[in-house]
Amino acid sequence: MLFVEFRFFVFFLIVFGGYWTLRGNTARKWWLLLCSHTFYACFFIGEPAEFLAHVTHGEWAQLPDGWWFPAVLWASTCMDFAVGLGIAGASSEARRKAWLLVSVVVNVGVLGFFKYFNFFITSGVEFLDWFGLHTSLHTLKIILPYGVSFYTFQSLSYSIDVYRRRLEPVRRFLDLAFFISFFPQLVAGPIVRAMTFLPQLLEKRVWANVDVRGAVTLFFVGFVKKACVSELASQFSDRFFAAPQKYTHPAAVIGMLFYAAQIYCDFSGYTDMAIATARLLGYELTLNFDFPLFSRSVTEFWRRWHISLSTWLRDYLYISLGGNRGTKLFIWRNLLLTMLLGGLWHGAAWHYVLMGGLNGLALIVHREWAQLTENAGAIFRRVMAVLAWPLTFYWILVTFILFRAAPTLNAKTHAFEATALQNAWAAVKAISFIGRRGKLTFNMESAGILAVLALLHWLNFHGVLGRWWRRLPDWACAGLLGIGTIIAVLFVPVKYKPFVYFQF
Amino acid sequence: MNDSAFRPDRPPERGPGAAIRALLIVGCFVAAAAGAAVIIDSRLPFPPVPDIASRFRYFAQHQNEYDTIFVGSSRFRHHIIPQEFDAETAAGGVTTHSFNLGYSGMWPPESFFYLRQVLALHPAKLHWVVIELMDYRFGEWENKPLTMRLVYWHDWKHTAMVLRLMLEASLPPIEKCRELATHLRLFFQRMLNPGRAADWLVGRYFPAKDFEDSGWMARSGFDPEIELDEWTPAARLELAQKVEAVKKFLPPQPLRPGFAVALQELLNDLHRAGAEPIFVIAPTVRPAENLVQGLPDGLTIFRFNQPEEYPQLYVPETHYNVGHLNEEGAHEFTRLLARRFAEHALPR
Repeated sequence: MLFVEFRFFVFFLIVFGGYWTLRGNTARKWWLLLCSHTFYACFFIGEPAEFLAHVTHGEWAQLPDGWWFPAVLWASTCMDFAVGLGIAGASSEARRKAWLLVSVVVNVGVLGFFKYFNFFITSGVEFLDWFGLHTSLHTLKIILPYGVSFYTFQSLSYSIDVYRRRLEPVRRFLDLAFFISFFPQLVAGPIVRAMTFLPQLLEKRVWANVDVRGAVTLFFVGFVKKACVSELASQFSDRFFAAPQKYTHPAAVIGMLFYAAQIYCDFSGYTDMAIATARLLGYELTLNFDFPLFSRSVTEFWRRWHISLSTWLRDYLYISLGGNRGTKLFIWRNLLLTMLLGGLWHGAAWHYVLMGGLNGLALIVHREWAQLTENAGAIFRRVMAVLAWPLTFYWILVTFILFRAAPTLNAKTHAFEATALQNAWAAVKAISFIGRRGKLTFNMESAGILAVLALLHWLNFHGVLGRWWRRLPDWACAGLLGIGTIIAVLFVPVKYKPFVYFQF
Repeated sequence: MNDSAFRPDRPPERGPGAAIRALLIVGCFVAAAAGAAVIIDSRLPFPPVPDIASRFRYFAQHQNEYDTIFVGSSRFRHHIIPQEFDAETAAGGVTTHSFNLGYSGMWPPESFFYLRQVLALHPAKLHWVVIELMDYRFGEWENKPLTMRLVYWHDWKHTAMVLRLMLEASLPPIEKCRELATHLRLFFQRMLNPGRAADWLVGRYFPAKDFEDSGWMARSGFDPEIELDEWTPAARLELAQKVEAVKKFLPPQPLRPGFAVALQELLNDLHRAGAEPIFVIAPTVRPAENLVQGLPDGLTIFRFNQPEEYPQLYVPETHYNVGHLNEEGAHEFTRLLARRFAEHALPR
């Protein structure tokens, strides 16, 4: 069940109504826990009646793939609950460390097994094949549990914060289970820290404190970004990435800009909706995107893009590795390692690792460049101020290309084909105005769509839209949102089944 | 998007009036959304229903050429040849220029909706509207994949028509609930028009190259049915048996009250548009389609569901299956229909 689906709105109305009708904080938390697991179950349960029939008849083999996903979620939660209490009750530092190690090993182990086992096996086999060592290692039929990348990081943040004595361990299992499985952020983030979320569970949420107008507006904006803009942009980017070498250079830039819009609107739109949904229930989630496309350096970009992940990596990985302490080489190593692992977190594929590595290198270069030009003259600073945004934006586009450079597995030879990487390279050359130009182009009117999107984003970045919106009375906002919703729905692509003629 | 960008400056309101105020604001949202949906829906062009939309667009472009149209199911689409109809009526002393808007599976309320869309074009010369008389069939939409074809006719008028028929029907309550849920969902889908702008944009920038058969244009809407392999000896025997049964006993079927009302409303719309309706019961061996009881007063109806009167339409040589005529049968049926039409249309 995605936030853009109609059934989510029905689901949320029930959740919302039930939640604010209940009086006690504990009752509300139980209700949301139940709803969160219902939400989670919707991803894999299929037809509920059919599912229940299979369960009651003990037909386990007939159950849909992934019916056991909640077991992983519960196991992870139980383990971290025990770890939290274990750390708090440990009599020595060594025992505290041992408890933490349990959490790290189990959480990383779960993530590693489900997300990376096959990746490392196939990569190992390929690597050995290079040396002529043919092995017969087999991959497993593993299905990645939904949200595992997010909830394992959240669980880890709890254990690490308890270990670092920044957080008291929770005494009620309900609180931790609620924190880890809270449905707005369960499957696609933002990665919520235990330190920021758990204190919110102590007090009963008050309806009068809920910023309904802001939350509904944010949900609407997220919906438009995810369901309309991202989907529309994919029409252009999919065509461009199918054969980037066939496009003219200006068309390649248009295709790439649409891809940037797609990737940004898809992810940030979803987290906007997650934050808004949580806010309507009285909870605040972490800000995840802060106009990253306007960044003027790679460092700034990673402070604005997927903030909950980059700060998680900074606080729990980069700092654990030593952070900014030590020699220059040591810091570079920490940066590179953090970004490589950050890249790998995005997906079990080498192109993600490459993306992470390139960003790590860019962070190192920027760090050194900033130190080198710290005392530069005024003219140099002015030139750099002009060039900073376009250069950063170009780099962002280049690394975005790697997001979709997934190598394809040839079904016959069982070998990976480099078509996607070749396409990625062709795309980089095309947007850089390098090499032979193709003949395909996009309708140049489409540049107008990009211009409108960019203008709206720029106006919002400078707070113009927000200021104007805040001045409107509530009834006018409601009316505009009503009209806006109907217009937005016109832009939501619907995949009708092809016409099926029914005989009679 | 910075998530705090739209947070209002002032603190949230408290107090007893807050709930009423909240309800009024929700009312504003709903009213604005409903108003926008109705206005947008009324401005949008005919929905892109495969095949049906292209026929409608073609007719809209040539609307002032035709004075007679046929609206019905496959039994019109494959059975009526407009050119031959026009030639036959001319021989009978009546000049017509007709177009066949029939399409497979087009029963009421879809056919009523489609006809109303045609009338809304205000075709200058339209005088005769030949409509296939069929009742609504329950359950035809159940468990079918969601297609634009299912959605497009669910405006308020025609959804209300279905709901009334459904409430009148002697269906089990659970079935009624299911039908109600299905049609309400389709109604909302129809009124919200999801994806219409996205389709338009994509079509504008990436025109589809899908081939759509347009041979019907040269034949004024007639589509000969491609001969299928289903005309087996067993099927021929089935036809013969059913014909014999109908010959022996063909009870008149009453119109359901809701359907009679809908029919009367359609007649009123047709009269307002200055058109003269003629209802036709196409050749059929289904006794349930003998809808002759409780018809509105003054309704013109041509009944071809009588094997004794039209034996040539009930022999295996003119069929490609039990329910449909082949091309030879179509020629035969068109001639018979045109003769009845000319007799009716000639000034007395």
